[in-house]
Amino acid sequence: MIMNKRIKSFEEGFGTAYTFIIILFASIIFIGLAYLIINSRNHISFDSNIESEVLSQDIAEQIINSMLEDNTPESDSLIDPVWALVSSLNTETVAITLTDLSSRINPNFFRDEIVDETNISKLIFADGHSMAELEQYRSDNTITADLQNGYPEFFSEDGIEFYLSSYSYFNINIADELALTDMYVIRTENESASESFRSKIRQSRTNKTIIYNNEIENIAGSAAGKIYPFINAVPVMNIHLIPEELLSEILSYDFGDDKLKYPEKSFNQIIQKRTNGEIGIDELESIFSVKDEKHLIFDYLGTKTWFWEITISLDDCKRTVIVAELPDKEYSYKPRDAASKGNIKRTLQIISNLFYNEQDL
Amino acid sequence: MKSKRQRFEEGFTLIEAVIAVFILSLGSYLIYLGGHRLYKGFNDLKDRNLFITEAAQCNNLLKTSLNDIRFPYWAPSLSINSSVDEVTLQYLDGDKDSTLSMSFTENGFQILIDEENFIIYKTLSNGYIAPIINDKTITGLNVVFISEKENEYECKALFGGIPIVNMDDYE
Repeated sequence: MIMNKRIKSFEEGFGTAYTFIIILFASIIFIGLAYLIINSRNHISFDSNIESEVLSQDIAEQIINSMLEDNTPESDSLIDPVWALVSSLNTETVAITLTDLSSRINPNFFRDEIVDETNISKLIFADGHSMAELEQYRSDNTITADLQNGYPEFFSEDGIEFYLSSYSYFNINIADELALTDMYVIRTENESASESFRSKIRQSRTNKTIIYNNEIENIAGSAAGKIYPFINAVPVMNIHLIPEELLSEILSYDFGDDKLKYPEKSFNQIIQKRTNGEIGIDELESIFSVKDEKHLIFDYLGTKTWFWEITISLDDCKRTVIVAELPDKEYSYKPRDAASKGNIKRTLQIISNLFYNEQDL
Repeated sequence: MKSKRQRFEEGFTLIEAVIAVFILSLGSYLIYLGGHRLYKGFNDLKDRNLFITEAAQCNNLLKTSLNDIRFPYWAPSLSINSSVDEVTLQYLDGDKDSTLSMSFTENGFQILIDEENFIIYKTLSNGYIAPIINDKTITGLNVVFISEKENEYECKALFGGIPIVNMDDYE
């Protein structure tokens, strides 16, 4: 009889309406809990991104402030306090790099002579491309910040990674005339005045005169305020941080029949001096063995970096900051002004500040 | 003495019936009021949720899109009035001829990418666009959405590249 009752009860089932309601209720609670956990996970990950964003911004600001506190603003070298700071901020979880962006060849304005008469073309071009082709392309198109897409397939991978940059000021003494005119039009939107600007530059080159930073106004007139600092007369590349291969090629250039006397000696001296310390502007004449202050070497090579890239990687996030230094208009950053280097006004400006989570890419 | 059962079976007097009807009417009215308020509350909540959801989506899109606006350092400094309802920016992906436009229209907030692809956020029809200025440089945009209930939602997004400010233009 007991057995029969059990079988009957089993056949009736145990899923009464009450049980069903309890199961439904429990399901709702579990779904709610799961939703809460998922949301809290998102929340934590969101917070972690914010923390990285704030920390990386703070590091970038520390680096920029350290640059501003440099006691020798006329020279940027590896003994500047900023490098010690970068080194101390690098940890197992935070990777920081500081890169000189401007001590490279800027294809937007470099002239054909220096590239063709040295081995620079081998360093920068992809197979089958030449400076003549680049010049033609440049005159048909406009200046670009994006070298990879702006000059499609022109450059080798190594060229883009190590030797080329779109970040450097157009030096009025050594930049291509057409490129200077192009920049003049971009800045002033005055195409008719650009021809007069171009002819003054040509005249100055024919007369073998050098334009100094504080003389830009004589050439550009009232437009000087608009074209400075984009067109200026400060040395383009920094001997402390320029890649060795480029340095060697530039020193071997003939500078319009005014070749350096001992390019190899100058090269070795620079490499030795920059490894152990800072090279002052007043040392440049002796290093290059050039007494003529109008020599174009002083427009190619100096002691300053104008554009820096700071990258900060932490967790899965990366911040990339590009900082530009605005040259002091009253200073030439050349040996002629070495004595007055104490009065340099240093101004840095952030021109790009990107933060992204590498997982989102 | 009449028992309760007897009284119940006899029915109610007119006054009792009137009072009962009055109480029922009052109850019904209160239920209507409560229901109406609940319905309105749900609708408001739905509108608010829609507003916040669209604003948050738009915030994400703006952050990504404005990151792609990369002015080269030589570009002329950007000039935007303190509060506008339409902006067109050049240098999308660093290309001078590619543009990103955004505007408040009757149909909602519209983001137009390179004159081809566009998206409209219908509930975000009211608000303004203001520049974010840091050291005299416009570094990004602050888009403020205002809901019908005057709630404000701010979307702050920065450009990927900023031109060098020509100090002479400002001094």
